[in-house]
Amino acid sequence: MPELEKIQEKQDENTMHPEYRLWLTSMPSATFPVPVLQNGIKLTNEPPRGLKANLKRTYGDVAEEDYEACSKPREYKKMFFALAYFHAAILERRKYGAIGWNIPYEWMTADLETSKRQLRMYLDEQEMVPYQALNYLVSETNYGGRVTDDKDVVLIKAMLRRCFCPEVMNDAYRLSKLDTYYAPPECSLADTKKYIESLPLDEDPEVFGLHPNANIAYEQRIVRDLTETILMMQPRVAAAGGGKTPDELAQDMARDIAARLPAALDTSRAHPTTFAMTEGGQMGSLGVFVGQEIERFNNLLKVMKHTLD
Amino acid sequence: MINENRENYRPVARRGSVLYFVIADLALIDPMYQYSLEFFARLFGRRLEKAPKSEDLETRIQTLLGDETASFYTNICRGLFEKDKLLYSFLNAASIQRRGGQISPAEWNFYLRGSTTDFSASKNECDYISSVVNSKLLGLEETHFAFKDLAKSFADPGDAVTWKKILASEEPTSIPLPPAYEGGLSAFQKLMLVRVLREEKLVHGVKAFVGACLGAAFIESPPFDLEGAADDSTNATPVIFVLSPGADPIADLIALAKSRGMDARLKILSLGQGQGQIAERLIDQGQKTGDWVCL
Repeated sequence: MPELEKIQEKQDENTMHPEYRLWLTSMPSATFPVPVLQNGIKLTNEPPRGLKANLKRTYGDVAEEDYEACSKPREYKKMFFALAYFHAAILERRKYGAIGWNIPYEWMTADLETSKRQLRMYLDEQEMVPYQALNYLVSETNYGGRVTDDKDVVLIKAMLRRCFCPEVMNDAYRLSKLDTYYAPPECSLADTKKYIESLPLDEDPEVFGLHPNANIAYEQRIVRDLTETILMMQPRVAAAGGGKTPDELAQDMARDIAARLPAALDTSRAHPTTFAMTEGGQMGSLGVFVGQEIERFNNLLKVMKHTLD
Repeated sequence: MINENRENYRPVARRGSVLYFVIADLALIDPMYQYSLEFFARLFGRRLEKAPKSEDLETRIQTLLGDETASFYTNICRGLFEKDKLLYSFLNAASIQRRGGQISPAEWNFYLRGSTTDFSASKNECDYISSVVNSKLLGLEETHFAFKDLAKSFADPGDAVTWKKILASEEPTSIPLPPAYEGGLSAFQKLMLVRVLREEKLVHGVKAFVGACLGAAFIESPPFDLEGAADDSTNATPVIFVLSPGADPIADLIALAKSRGMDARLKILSLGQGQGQIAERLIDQGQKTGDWVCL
């Protein structure tokens, strides 16, 4: 990274080839050299949110010949959709915060890829669809490997069981309580994509087996993020509020503190026993200690008085 | 004479300073949101030149204000994450109105932190709102005279019908307020009311406020615009993709390179251990031959 900064500093646009372009990719990082950042054009590229967008992406990555190559096409296509739905559902469920998952797990496309490959392999090699084995592999090993909370383990298993089950082969079977989402009857890749295209843009919380009220929690979280970020960005001085400018507020505070400053402590007015000498001509330890502290305190008062005036 | 003419353009300069400070504050949200003053000045200057001209001073100034605000919005939004885009346009709208005096410090503070006065002793005369909400209503009355008698309005049987509808609705921001307030409150004051009554719907309220203040274009996030970014880049200005899990811009980049006949000269390298030198060589070579280098 520091080298990159040097390279960028050294370059001279006149000596460089005019068609030269530098493209950089990076996750958000506090160590990314600031000069490069400030001079560059920043572009974010986020995957679109929502169940539909997620399904679309999964199917967008599928090659036609792979989709048609399984020896049990009907079973494969049905199970494939169930897997894609499961993948999308557990990811999108995270937006509900603690209502969705106790811990927000970072499942990745690699989990989906592995599960896809295993699904294909098991279907090609075995006579029957090994529902039990697939359930175990996907929910306990592939995705479950990341799940650490015991309640979340129960949840992910239950969610997959609803997708990977013999009933899914029945065209009337629904993947959630809603009528909208189901593994479409056996058809071409293009037709499946068409079906996904017909799905609603925003999903009901019921898709995830959650009560509609879960949306309130989600909205509250968004709102909290929004207001807290703005609050964090405000300069601190303005905190006292009212119609005054920050300068006036500071002035008022200074005057208020100055008015409350006590006078310097006068040792001559101390209680006679405080600084009494012992028979050996020395001061008691308490007297020494108090004396030193008073000196410091008086110094502090002096500095405060000076700066506040 | 020159001075006089120059003074006329002060509103544009003022808008510029508001826009700049909003952008400068963005770095507090995410370390990647860094924009230099030079970057800002360059874009600001370019828009001054390119915005439609007019012989009429007032028209010219209005065009400039709108054009500068809009072009910064599209330009900055390219580099913001989805979640921060609404925040950015809200800050823009609020800062412009605060600078213009349409939002008073008292109102802004109430919006951010709520009231500082203690109303726990005052009586709640309304049975369908809690005493907490009642106190907040009294707090609102303090911030601006437009909120006068707000708590009383909740107790008024005629207005209560409307208030109850707002409290129960899925889209509270689409219901007109009782007549005394619908016309009397500014867009921001309506937003303050949403904050008190239906905090969980605040995002809708914020959108309504930004829409009323800057225009509907500022609530929609501009689409991913690789072409535009490529047009703005130069041999000295790199394009930086800020990634998030699940995003992969490489495919888009390759497509762009193809459409510009650069696909054979696009060099892609994943940085990792020991790749630093190779990367340096690619950059060196690219600067001479005009290749595109993607790291």
